[in-house]
Amino acid sequence: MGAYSRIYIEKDAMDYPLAGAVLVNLPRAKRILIDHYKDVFNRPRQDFRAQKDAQQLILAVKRPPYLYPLSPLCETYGYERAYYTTPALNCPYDCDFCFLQGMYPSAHLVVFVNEGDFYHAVRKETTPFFLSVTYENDLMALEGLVPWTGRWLDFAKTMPHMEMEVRTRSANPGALMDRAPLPNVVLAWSLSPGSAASRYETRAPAPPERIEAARRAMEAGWRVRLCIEPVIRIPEWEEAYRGLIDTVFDTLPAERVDSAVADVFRMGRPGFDSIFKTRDDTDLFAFRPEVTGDSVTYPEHREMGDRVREMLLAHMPRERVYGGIW
Amino acid sequence: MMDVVGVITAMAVEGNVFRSAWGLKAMDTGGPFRCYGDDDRILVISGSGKVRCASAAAWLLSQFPEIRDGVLLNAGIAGSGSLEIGSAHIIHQAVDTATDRRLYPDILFTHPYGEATLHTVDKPVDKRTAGMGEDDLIDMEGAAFLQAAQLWMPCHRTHLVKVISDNLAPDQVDRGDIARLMENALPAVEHIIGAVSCDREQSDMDKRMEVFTRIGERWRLTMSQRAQLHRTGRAWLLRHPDGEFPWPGDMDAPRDKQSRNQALADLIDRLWEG
Repeated sequence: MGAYSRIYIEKDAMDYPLAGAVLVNLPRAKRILIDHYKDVFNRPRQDFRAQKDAQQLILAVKRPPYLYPLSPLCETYGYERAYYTTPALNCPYDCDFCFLQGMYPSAHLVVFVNEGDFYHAVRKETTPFFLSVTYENDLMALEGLVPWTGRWLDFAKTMPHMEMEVRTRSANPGALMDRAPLPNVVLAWSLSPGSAASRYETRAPAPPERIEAARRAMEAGWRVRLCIEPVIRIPEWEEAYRGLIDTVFDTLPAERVDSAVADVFRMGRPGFDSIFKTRDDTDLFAFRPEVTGDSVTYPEHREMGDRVREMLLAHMPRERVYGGIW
Repeated sequence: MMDVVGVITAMAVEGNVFRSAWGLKAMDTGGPFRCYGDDDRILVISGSGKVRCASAAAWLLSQFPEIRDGVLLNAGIAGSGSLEIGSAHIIHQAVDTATDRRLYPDILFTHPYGEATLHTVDKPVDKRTAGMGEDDLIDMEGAAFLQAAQLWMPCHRTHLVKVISDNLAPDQVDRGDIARLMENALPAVEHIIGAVSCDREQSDMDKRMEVFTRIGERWRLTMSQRAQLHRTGRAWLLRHPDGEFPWPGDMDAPRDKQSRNQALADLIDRLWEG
């Protein structure tokens, strides 16, 4: 159904080079000039599910703020100061567990094109800090459309005191191939057992393809992080996750894996309730919920998280295995 | 199951093409608008202008709420500075020129027709005004239609199809030509109706949930108990996409508050365990 067949472009975004780079990639798409991206993205009565089948593109100028502090419930890998930034909103994949579906009114993809403003804001951080550039998107998966990953990698070269994480489910690390690996950039692949991925990550590349992409990146000298999250309570979940982790370490030498993180599925309660009421096409939310703080998770979440982290610890030392902070 | 489709045109001569193509019969609704229809298509003649069109959309959706799960369209003629007379366009942006408010139908389908921005004015104009592009369209209803329709309907189910009637010479439009021009709107309207599917799955789930509504009534559960049962029942149905939850005939219908609470707790345990 015509993904990216229509591009909504803020008038102020037209003159940015990144907008030009995107438009060149979509020469046949219809272009609609708009005043502000929220006129389209935040309009009432949108159907997130219908939009996921025909995602359209919005090019916009991000207004401040450009940096947001990461929630205390997020893993910060030992950094006291940890931020995320949003060069894009939403993702081309359609994972059932994605928190964005409960957070945004629209599934359309927003790409912010004023990259200089992002870099200017990040440059103000002068002491070591952690930055996630993929908290609300999958930039690597979009690289063929929007060359954001490569540009962030170029920027990271100038910020050695910043540890930047690029998290992805993509199997195409094309942005990395012509670049020298950077010691302050971690490429983080989200991985799930095949049975969970085929059921709940229907548009993302299959896990073996992601593992192969991680292997290629590692071989090229990049730091690679394994993200086993969200851990989902699928039938025989323990065997499934053990199988995944064994497969990963059959392919990737454990001593060269930078780090790993594992955490169980959880979601903010309002988002969870809203998705549960509206989605008839997935059983992911059909469990007896346990409320912890503002989040909903499985009653056995502690046991599940501990078990999967133990599986990782069979291959990696404790100081390189993260997760379980909530 | 068919989509229920509503079409609003300002003038009867704009609606004739739908009336005749779909074989619609005059309906006696007792309402303020002329109305034609059959089981799944309804045509309303609103009269010209924003207020008439918005009123017709609100009236139609109140009278026939099933359209909210279907498709609602405004079809008609429009002027343009440059586009070819007779060409049909699906509208991707509608601007109310009086307020500069912009509205956007969510076009989630591909199509072979032109697309354009539409400016809705309060009285006929013979020249472009500030903010109007050369390829933009001008009418007297579209933005108001969207504003009203989107109060009830998702924005991917409300659409506008306009056929160019003149190049900014509204006085020269011959009413006799309008019916012929509107023939070009019909394929675009049919295309949209075919592309926007109805919410069948939701309807199926509603039907499957009826057993829990019946239990709530039969057991005289409180409103909060019914909500709790519905939530748990929905989770059970989502885990059993091909199953129907059987009536709990083995459980005694509760007769007092205490037995009601116990019966509900037992049923909810059964639902979570299943």
